[in-house]
Amino acid sequence: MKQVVEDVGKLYFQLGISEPSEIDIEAIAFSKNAEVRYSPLKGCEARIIGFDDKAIITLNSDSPLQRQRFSLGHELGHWLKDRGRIGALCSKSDISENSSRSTKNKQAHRENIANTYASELLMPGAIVDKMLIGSKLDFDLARSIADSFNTSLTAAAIRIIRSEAHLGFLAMYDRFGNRRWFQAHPQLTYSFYPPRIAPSGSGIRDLIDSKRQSLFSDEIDGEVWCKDSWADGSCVHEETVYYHDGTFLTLVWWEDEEPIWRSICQKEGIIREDQ
Amino acid sequence: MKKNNYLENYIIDDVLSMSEQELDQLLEDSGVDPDHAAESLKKAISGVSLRYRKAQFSKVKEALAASKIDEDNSQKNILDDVKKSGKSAKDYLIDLIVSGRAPQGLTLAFREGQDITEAEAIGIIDDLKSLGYVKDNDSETSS
Repeated sequence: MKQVVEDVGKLYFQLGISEPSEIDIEAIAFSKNAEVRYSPLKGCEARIIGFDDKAIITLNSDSPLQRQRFSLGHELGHWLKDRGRIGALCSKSDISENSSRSTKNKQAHRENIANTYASELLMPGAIVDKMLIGSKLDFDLARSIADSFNTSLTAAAIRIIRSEAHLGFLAMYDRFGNRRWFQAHPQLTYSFYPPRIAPSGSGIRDLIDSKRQSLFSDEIDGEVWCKDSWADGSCVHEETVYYHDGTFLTLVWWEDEEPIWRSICQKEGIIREDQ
Repeated sequence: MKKNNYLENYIIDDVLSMSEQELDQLLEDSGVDPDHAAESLKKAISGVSLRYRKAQFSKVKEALAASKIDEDNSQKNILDDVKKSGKSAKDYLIDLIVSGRAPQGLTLAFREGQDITEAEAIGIIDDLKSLGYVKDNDSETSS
């Protein structure tokens, strides 16, 4: 992650990119000898074929613009990081079944790194972080970032959490209250991770139980979003929106960071839980 | 060299030969805050540098736009090569790349890849030809 941020930081410095509006991802690819083409693709979202110092990146012309941009960032990440490697070629039936677990793990790792490149290329930390100073963690902020950088709301919200400007998390739950995935600030301890089932007393539980597709935004009891007793008597910000296809996105922000730091200190043996 | 140039060089040499303390003293004697002067100089240099880098990126954008105008959109006749081989485009492609002959310097990756169609296989062969990996009218690679 740190290496990706450094690589993109250097690249954007060289290109003099200092504003969101200057992020022309196709021109950035072109500066790295990667030509972008558009074609209907059924077998994949995008592909890169590179030989020597030149590459052709083909994007699925049927995909929405924001998805194309992310895919371009992803493939450009492969070009910057995996040049000279051949991975995920053709279909699973053609090659992947013959691949060893180790090879598959390496490919999955490379895909994760390429995703990190995509996120950093589209929303570089050097620019995003400045926009987050003194901000509140909510979906207005995520929409503002998404609009500035022309990305999806989810990608923007994930980027905000990864920037580590707010102690909190983004989680997706389905209409049954089951957690699909989450992205948490790296310093959150397990006690503050979103539970597998939307907790009673939370805004998301309220929306699910009342079958409403509206917005919940309020300060609620901290214990609702804490598995242990660290947050008893404290408050936490929760904002939940209906996303699509029966899914909800929840942002939980511990503006009062005291419960988190107490749990970290206990985890590191500095204090006991009953102190 | 003109007299003015000699004078400029003399002044520059004089300034460069000063210690930091001497330079600070000179600036202070002239009514200039040395820290402020240093900060202004840094800003001026970084401003020039940023403008230069932005101008370079603008040239990249112009070159990209020009490359699109010049782009030859005509599909190369790859089908003939494939037909001659008696294989599907997909098998032709796999033979071309995977059968132990993939050279160093080839990069290939697919995002969320599942199965590819014949049309996509032809597109990939076309890309490989555009990049010079596959030569026209034969299946020889440049490896």
